[in-house]
Amino acid sequence: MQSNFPQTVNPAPAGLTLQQTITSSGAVTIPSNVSFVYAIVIGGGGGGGSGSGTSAAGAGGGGAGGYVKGWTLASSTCVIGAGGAGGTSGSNNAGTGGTTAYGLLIAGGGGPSANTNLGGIPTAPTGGGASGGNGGGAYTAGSIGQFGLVGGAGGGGGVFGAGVNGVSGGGGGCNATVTPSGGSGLIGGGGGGGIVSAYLAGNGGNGVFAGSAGGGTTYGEGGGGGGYLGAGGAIVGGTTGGAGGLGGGGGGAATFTGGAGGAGAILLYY
Amino acid sequence: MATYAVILGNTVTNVIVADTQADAELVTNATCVEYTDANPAGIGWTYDGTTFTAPVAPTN
Repeated sequence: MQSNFPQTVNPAPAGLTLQQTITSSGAVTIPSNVSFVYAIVIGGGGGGGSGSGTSAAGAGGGGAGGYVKGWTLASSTCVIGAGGAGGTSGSNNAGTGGTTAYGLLIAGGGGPSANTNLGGIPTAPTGGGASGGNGGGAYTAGSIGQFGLVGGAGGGGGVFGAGVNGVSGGGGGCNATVTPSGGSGLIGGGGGGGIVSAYLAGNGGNGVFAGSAGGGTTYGEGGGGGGYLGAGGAIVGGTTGGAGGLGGGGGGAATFTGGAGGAGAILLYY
Repeated sequence: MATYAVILGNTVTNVIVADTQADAELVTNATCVEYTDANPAGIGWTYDGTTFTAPVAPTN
C-alpha cells in the first residue's frame, strides 16, 4: 500500500496550547489581545456508498475530509462542514462532505463513494484550500484528492481496491482475497468498503494521531473511518455502513445505507 | 446542533453544522435550510423551496 504522508509529524504546533475545539458553526470568542491564531481546519468526511444489492461488490467508503493548518488572522466566526450523507439502498446518492473554514483557512469535504465503477470526486472548496479525498467505487480504489494545496486526502477503496493512504485521510478498502482494511491518514481515515458475500467487510482507515477506525467485523458493511477527534463507527454484521468520526469518511454498504461522513472541526491554538 | 444546507440560487453549495439557523446564516451570509435523514440534502442538489433533489448520477 502506498505511503505518502509524514506519519511522524504531529500537526499540532510546538509551544502553543490548544484553546478551543470547535464542532459547530457560529460565533468564535477570541481574547482581545490575540490577533493571530494557529488553526487546524478539517472538512467533513464524505458519505459511504450503498451497494446495488445485485452485485458481489459493495460500495466503497467515503473519502476523509481535507485539512489545512497554519497561522491566520483571528476571526469571530467559523463554518463547520457537515459529513456527507450515506447513500441509500439501490441509489447512488452519497453526499460530499461540507467545507470547513476559519479565517483564511479552508478545508473541503471528502468525496462520496458510489456503487458504480468509479467513486465520487469531491468539489474543490470555494476560494481554494485543501480538498478531501475521492470516494471509492465498487471496483476501483479511491485516489488522492485533486485540489489540495497542503495535500489531498486518500479516497475510499472499492471492493477490489485497497485503500490509499493520504495526507489528510486514507481511503477505506475492501479486497476479496486480502485483509480488507482501509488506508490510514494524518487526520482521518476513509470509510471501509462493504462486500456482499462471505468475505470480511472493510475496516475504516485510521487517523494517525487520534481516532481509530470502526471495523467491519463480519461480511456486509464497512466500518466508518476514524477522524481526528473521534473513532469511526464499528459495524458487526449490520446493514448500514459505519459513520465516520470527525473528519472521517463513512463506511460503504453492501446492500443498504452507507455510513454518514463525520462532521468537520476546527482546533485553535494561541 | 443540526445540519443546514447553504443555498445560493436554488443550488446547495455547502452542508454545515450549526446550533441554530440564525448561526448558520450569520456565518455564511446566505439562506440556510435545515435538512435531516428524512429530508436529506447534499452539495450540488437543488432546492425548490420545499424539497431537496439529488442530481442525476452520471453513468460510467
